[in-house]
Amino acid sequence: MGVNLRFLASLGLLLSIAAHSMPCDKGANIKVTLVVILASEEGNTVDKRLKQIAGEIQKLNPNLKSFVLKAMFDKSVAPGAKVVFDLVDKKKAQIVVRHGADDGNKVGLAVTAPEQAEIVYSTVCGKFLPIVTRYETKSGNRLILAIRVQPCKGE
Amino acid sequence: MIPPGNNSTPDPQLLAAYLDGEFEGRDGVEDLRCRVEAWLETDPSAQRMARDHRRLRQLWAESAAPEPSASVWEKARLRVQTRTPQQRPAARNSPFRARALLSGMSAFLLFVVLPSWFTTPTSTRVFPPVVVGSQWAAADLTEDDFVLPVATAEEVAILQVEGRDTGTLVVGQLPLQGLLELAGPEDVSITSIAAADDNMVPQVRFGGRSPLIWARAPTD
Repeated sequence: MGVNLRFLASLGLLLSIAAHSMPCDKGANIKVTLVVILASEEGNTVDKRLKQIAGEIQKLNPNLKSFVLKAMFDKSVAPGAKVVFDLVDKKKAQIVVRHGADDGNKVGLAVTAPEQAEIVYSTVCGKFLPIVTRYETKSGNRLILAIRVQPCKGE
Repeated sequence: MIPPGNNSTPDPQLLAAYLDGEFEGRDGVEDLRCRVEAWLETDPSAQRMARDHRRLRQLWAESAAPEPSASVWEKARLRVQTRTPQQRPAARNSPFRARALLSGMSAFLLFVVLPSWFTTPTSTRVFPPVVVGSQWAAADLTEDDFVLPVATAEEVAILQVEGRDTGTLVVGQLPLQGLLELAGPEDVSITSIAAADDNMVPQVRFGGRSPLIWARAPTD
């Protein structure tokens, strides 16, 4: 009896250690972060958190001068599952996690922005990919999405 | 049982008092007790109320905030005592004022305290402890006296927040903290970009060192 208990305790300990030492496997949930940004030709206000993305976008369209952080979301999504985000003016974005971190340590996503078709890509964890959508709000602001996933293996 | 000829339904407050054990050890309530028990036996609505009451009492017990300790009550009492003389206006010995005060207190007891006594589950009533012969000299409360349980950042997941509200968050981690860091050219691999209904296909563009997916708008 005592031997069996010791054996089971040791087995449990080994399993626990193994589970903690394994990197993020492909079946684990992915945290998808979506930042909703509204850019405008009016004013000259740039949210300090958006300086980098504002600079990149302004190189392509200098008329966009103001960048406001409208909302931010965090959702935990299982690989193969989709999640829908409410943006502005009842517009929605859909994101499907195609796969967890692959051999290149990238997560696969399929993003459908308002009035657009699906964009499929894979990305590293912890950094944002901006999507400048074609949608302009009723007040004339350009809708921009920035999407990040995490974690990947070892992160 | 309900006395013959008495078809009146007992007051739900009596049912609450019965379920809270208010009738235990009291004289002159046998008739009430019989009426309530008969009501409970025969009336499904009474049985439903009794179930709801028990469930509510259980919820109260499970969710009630911890009671302040006796020392906290004593400190609060001393604090009130030490502050009252400076703040209370000079009392005037008016018989009219005394009668008005007495009438007000009676009305308060009759219409507020007694009804709430019968409708409040026993477990939720607060009885300030009486401390006899206390040696407390200082009436100041320390922050340890009232510990409001607050969730830690690890216990809260912020799923959505409006941009203008991000500064108001007290506990929890925002989805975006600090600067929004963009991916580099090597960080993203585009697999496919489908055309929209009007055949518009977003392009991968580089403003500087970071890739952007740009969907052409009518104003571009």
